[in-house]
Amino acid sequence: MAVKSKNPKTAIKNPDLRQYVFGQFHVPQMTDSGAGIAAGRICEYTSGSIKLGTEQNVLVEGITRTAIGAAAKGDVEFGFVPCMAGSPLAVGDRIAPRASGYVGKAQVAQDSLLDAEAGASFAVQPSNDGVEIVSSSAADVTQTVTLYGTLNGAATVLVTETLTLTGVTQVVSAHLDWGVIMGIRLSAATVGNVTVREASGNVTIKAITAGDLTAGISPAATSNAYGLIPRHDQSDAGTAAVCVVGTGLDGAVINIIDTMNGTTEEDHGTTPFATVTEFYTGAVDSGVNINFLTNEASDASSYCGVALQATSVSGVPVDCWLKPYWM
Amino acid sequence: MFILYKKDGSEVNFTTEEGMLKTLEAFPDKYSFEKLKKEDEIPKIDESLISENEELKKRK
Repeated sequence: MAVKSKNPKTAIKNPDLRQYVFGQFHVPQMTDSGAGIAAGRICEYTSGSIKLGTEQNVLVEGITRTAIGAAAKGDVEFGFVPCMAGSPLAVGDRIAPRASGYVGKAQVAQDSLLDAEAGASFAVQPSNDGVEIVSSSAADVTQTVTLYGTLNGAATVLVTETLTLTGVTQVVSAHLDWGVIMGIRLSAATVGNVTVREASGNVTIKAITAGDLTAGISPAATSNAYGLIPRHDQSDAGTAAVCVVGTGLDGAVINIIDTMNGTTEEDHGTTPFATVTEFYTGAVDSGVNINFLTNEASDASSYCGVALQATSVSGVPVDCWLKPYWM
Repeated sequence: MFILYKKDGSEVNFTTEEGMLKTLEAFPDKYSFEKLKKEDEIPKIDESLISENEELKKRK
């Protein structure tokens, strides 16, 4: 599938520059050495052929205007071309290669995504039990309560379940094998206090005061993750799991659960994020402060061009000026 | 944009001053306001300039 972009014949007003750009910025019939390259993806030079671009590679050759099959030949273009955004971009942002042939906003210093937030410290965890919700007011019969957590024995898979309050009568979750509850969200303010508790022993996991809409859910301080893997860190010992929610390079919503590693700053999982939106911290002790950062790897050596068009989402083509590694 | 420095000298950007300050308070061993200089980055005073200065004092 071809990717549309501005026609350089009309976008460039200077006829000499137009001729130069249109006539030269084109490498014909390069051979793919990998499993094929989709349209609009960065290609990386490798031993006389090309392959799908990788994160922060320093051998960008150009982009594929049309898809190239595995071991097939295809044209590679650079200059004014559409690149597939792997992070939000502003006009004039320098870009750098990201995994799977995307480009992201080039990073020169880390950004704090979550500023020293204390863990939500849910009092107890279900550990293979159901969960109940109940309000202290009979008037609370329309609001929903969404539980975010993991099931027993599946510590890295986020599960959500939404229950509707029925006043002072408890409602039991469909999942009866919750492992850890990491976040709780109410659809609207309640009249009474809402208790989220274990189904078997009625031990309170979290009491939510009337008017509060979330527990264990912290919004990101800033959202652009540059198309790289975010980093987590905390102020004290502990290995509780935290979930990061955001979007991947392709623009789809993703979540990654990973355990903290005490006071060691490290990658949060292995999946790059285009954006992050919120963090679920219910399993972390309230005496522990959590810090999330963008990746520490600078793009200073892997700049490959400039964004000419803004996008607030990833997974879409944006007009860029792209330079090959040898330029 | 508000900036703190890690011990290795790298910058971390914060969106708000409040966020920067509470991170500094929670991670006092990891962040600082000032970029720490390595010893070899601190310019050393030329020994000849010190001796010249001493000579000038004697003449006065």
